[in-house]
Amino acid sequence: MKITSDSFNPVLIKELRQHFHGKLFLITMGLLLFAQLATVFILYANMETALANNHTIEAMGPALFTASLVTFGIACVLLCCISSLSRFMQERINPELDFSRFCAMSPLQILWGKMTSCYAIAIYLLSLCLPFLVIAYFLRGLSIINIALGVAFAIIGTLFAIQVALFIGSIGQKNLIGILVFIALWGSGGIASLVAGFASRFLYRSAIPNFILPLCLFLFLAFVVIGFIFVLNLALLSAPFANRTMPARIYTIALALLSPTFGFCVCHVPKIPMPMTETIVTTFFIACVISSCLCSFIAAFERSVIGPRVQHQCPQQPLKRLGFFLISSGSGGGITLAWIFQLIALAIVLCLFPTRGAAYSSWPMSKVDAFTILSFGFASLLYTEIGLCIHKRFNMMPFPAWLTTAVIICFIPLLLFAFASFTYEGKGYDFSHLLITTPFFLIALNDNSLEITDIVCWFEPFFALVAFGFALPYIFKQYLSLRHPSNS
Amino acid sequence: MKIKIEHLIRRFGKKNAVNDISFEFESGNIFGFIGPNGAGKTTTIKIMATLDQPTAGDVFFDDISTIAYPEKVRRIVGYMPDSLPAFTDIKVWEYLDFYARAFGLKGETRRKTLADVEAFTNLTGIREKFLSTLSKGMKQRVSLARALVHNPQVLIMDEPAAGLDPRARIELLSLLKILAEQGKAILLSSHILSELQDICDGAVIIEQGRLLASGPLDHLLESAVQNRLASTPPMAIPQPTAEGGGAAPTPPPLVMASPLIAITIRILRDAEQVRLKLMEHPSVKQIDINSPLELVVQFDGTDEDIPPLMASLFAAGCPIVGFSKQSLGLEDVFMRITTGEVQ
Repeated sequence: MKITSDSFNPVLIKELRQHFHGKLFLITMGLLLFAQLATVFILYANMETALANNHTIEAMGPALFTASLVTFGIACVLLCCISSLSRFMQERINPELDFSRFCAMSPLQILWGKMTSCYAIAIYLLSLCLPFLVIAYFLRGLSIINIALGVAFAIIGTLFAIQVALFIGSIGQKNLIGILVFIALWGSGGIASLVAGFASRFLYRSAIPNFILPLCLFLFLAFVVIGFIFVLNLALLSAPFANRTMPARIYTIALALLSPTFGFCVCHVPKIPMPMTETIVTTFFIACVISSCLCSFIAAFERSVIGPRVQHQCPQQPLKRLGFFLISSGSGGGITLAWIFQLIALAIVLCLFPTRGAAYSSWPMSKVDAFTILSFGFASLLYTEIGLCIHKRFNMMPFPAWLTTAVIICFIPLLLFAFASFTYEGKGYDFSHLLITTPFFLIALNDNSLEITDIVCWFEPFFALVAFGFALPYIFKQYLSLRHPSNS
Repeated sequence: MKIKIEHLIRRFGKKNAVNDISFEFESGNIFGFIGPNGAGKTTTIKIMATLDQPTAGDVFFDDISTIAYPEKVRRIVGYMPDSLPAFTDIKVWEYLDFYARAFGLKGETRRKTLADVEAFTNLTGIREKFLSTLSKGMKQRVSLARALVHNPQVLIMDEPAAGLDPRARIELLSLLKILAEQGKAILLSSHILSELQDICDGAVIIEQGRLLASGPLDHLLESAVQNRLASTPPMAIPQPTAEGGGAAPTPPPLVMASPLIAITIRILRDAEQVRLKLMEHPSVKQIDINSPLELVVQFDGTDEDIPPLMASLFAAGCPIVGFSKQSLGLEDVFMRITTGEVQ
């Protein structure tokens, strides 16, 4: 079969042409080769001295390898990330000139073209580094596995960086800073404590003999985040009035449904005695909470008015309409889906997880641990629901809904802190009661503060439920407005 | 192809940018879209080009709804915004090639289409130039070429001639004429009404989001003539009084149902003599003396009645050196219909 340029994505061809015409490309190529050659020459110059001092030359392999990967990383950031990001931003700055709005390509095709062009450039850069990696291998001090692992992590890092760059590019310049601050607020404590908590509570405690499980967890979370950024990019590239969050909602559902597969795979990792059922249930439980948090996060950005284009896609049968409500654009559907995930997770905790004291049984986590994780989802729901209520109640139309939620994220922890301080004043709690202000740090608490953990674990669902009660009229109104025009 | 805009409404908060607009036009026609700044032209055009969605109403391209099938509409419509292409590090042919690929053109078909479009828009000589180095006029050509690259049946253009030099403007308008002759439906928004009048078959006039008038250009001009008489009653012909000379103006006459024909008559001398002679004619309703050597006659009749009227003047020895039937221009129509208020 003859392969012509017609077989390739138009955006890929355009991007590569623009890359090769750009001055940055030539400059980066030159710097990349210069840096690596310079490293080789410096190492060569030092070799004589090292041998004269009776040192081995085995340290030179890792040095060259590290230098090659670092220069590869810098070149990737410059060409794949910054260059692509700025071009993407420029293309989207004027909606009238944004080709994603008026050409016949779907957002998926456009994003795929952008991504593949970045990957193509990354592979090209890596191929320029390969001769130096081979030299590094022959200089000794490195095994093939070391090199493969190093390159693999560099590639995963590049994948992540490219997704983030495209995400920032697709936001456009209008709301860029605000949205990034919002994401930082939402994710800073959560991501940091998740990683720390998983490591301290679940991994080291169970004394797993090798690094395979942490590696699996890291890869799982890395690909979950990369996938989520990808579907967010798709949403940002879709027309504002299209059913733009549908891919993200489907992603969260798929994440929850496919998570048992990951649990199943972990159970089959050699040398790790993990009980099958417990691991699969735990994985599904965690995935439900993650999906709930992601749904709440997206719902904070969504509109509350259903446009005619979404209405046209709405099925006419009542049951299908309800299903469509959960995956269609609109904060109401997002919050409802997040609650469904939370309730499934809650049911799993109440019915299946062991009670306190059974933490070291066959289950990877105890009921208290599970409640702690669950509180993430409830807190996310709480923030989004209050944001929606305030935005609708005070008719803050000129401000985006996410801005209200961002303010809430700052305000609610303070409120909870004040409430807790007032309620438990004089009971002699240690500094850890400060942690009551946010669930994001609960996971890192030690066992001495279990009482506090319990309080917070009940605070979050209670407040989330109360906020849901307030948000319900708006959610119901959105559901009623989502009907096919022929039914109106 | 028939393009129907049906009860289009677009609200931004409490403001109605477009307020229940309906009109239609067909293939082979150039339709002017006229209105003051902030009238809602660009909003309407964006909805038609699927860049925005209406709050209510819809736009149909031969029964294809822009709301239900925006992807299909994008293949039918070529949209030329008033902004210029801003891609960096890309040559003219690469830019057009990208859009051709994006619309699914492949292989030899794509190459031939690109060659044709480049030749039509006179870009062949600059195809190897970078887009960022082009002048505004050249970028407009590239923008037009981009809108044509998938051979759309409908062209929607927002201020395509804005900022162009006279030569580029004339060339652009002649290209549009050719495209209309090829059977494309063209909706053209512009502020240069005299040029629109030369090339348009019809026009839509909007103000403050509301439709003021729409239809074929002849009908618009004709109805504007009627509206002029209805809205600004002319001074009546002074009637000689019994005392012999009093030419006091009488109250305005009632609105006339049929349109009047305005005739400009240029004379060598004796304007008063000519005026008196004209007053004898029963079909003459009003005479304005613009200057000592020019009169404007409002004449209630058809084109068939003009030669006998002029013949009677010649027979009476009036020193006439020329005459012409006066017609209203699009600018006159626009000025009379719109109020100039901004939302």
